[in-house]
Amino acid sequence: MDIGILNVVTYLPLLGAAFILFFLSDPRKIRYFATMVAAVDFGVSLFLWWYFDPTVGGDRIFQFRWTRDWIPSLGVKYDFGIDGIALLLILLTTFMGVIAIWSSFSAIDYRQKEYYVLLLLLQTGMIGTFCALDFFLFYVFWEVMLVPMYFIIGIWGGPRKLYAAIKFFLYTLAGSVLMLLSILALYFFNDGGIPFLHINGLGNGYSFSMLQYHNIGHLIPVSLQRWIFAGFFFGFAIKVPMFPFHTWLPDAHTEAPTAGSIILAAVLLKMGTYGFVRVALPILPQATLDWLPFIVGLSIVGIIYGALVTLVQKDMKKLIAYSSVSHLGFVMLGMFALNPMGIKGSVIQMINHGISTGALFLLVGIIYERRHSRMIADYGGLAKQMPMYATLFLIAALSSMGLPALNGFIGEFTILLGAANRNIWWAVFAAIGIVLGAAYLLWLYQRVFWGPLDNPANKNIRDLNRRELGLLVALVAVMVWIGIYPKPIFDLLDKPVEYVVQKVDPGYFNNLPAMHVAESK
Amino acid sequence: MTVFVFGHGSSLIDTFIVDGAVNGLAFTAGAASRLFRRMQTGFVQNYALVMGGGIVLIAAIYLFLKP
Repeated sequence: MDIGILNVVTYLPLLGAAFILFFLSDPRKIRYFATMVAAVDFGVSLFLWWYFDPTVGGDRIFQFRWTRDWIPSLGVKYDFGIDGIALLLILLTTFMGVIAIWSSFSAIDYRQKEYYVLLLLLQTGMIGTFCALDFFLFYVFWEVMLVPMYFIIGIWGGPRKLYAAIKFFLYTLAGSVLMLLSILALYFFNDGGIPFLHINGLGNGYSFSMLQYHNIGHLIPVSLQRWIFAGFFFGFAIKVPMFPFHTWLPDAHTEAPTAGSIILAAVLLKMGTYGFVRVALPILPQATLDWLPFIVGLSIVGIIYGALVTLVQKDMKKLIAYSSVSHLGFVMLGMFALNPMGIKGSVIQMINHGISTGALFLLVGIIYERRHSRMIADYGGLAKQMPMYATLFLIAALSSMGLPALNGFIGEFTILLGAANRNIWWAVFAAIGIVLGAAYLLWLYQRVFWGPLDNPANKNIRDLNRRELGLLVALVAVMVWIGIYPKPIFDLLDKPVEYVVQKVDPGYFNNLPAMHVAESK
Repeated sequence: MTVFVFGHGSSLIDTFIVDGAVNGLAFTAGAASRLFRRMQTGFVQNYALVMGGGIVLIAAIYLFLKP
């Protein structure tokens, strides 16, 4: 029987969680078992990569398809399949899942069983969202993801954990309900139309299939497209988060336990950007163009404003949280350049942000475990006491600010190329964000690691242990690999990005100006 | 340093305007609940009074608007 490798990747963490729930009670065993499940899942996702054929384009771009009828009377199908974009994000999810679970060993000291069960459940929700090609299924996984994160912040978080958890939950739920409205509008348009708005449907019957909507998107009347886009926009923009919907993020990131922050930054934020590239752009091409100035404006404001707010933060974790607002602004800017360069850079930057910001949250978590303070003012001169920690922190910070030969540079550079190709001013404003990014990270580094070691509480602080060193070396290895040899990733993105651009801007490939031809080589 | 002035300014805007709007919305919902839950007294007489008042109001509007 064909059980589908995507089902294996998706439900393995769920099975692991169920096993922990029913059969394990020793915290030590639970920890190792959870790490093992996550590691096996990462291994399976590497198989996906091995067997994935990046040269297939067109409608067969979604591979490892596994389709069954689920609720036939409503047209709901169980439909799994991934393209290169989803594959990369699944790899990121399974990889960061191992890091997050392994990093919690010493950080979580109460209710450990529930904690690891919820983390594994979260993995299933995230991977399922990337695999789903049916809106109904997509929505189910989208909401499945929300609940474990709510508990992770609310139970194992910091002093203001309840405020942060409820804010996170309500804010993102409000967005996803608007997204549901848009899904329903598409659904009824595809079937019989929306009588009270005098919109005639296509009469295709009930269907939630994303791929079907990819093909009928251009038939939707522009006025309806704009409204549907608005619903998706709120759902995804809150998740990204774009300015001005970002304020749940600093609270949630700051209060969440370290692993929660890592997963939140690395994967949950990518749900929003993934939603744009998978749903909003290909299905609603005209509305995308109409909304474009607005979204690009918000992205640029997000980049610069986010960086300015980051600059003055006094709490390290909050500083890194705010830097995400700025970085995700880059991702959105690249995507809405709507050319292959921009979208590729955007997807690569999603991965980079996951790795780099995940690493920075891990580093802050490590020092918080030792000193129980995240305030920058409490530190200074740590480089003398913790040389290994200081070195790895520097590499992560440099990668986050986009130093060549590390991963951030590849993403930012490609985004800037794409943005400049559409409008040079976008790139100019984005470049201001890069300069500010270097400023806040280097200034943070200077205040924490250089100067005299004058706080007596820091005199006996331990350097990294072997587990922490292993986690960070793995992350740094990926940063260096992407920074030096990103070709395998670009190869995966060629066809999916072409697919998206063809849907959203069909004229792009027909009348290429000279500059575009040179770029697509 | 001009950048820091902008930074602190943006930070204040973020706390009090952007986030303030979100918390304000939550506060409005809470305040509305504190206000409206007083209506749910459990006394049938109160409900009957409101219903009676409503009937009078609707009748008045109907008579007033009738040509």
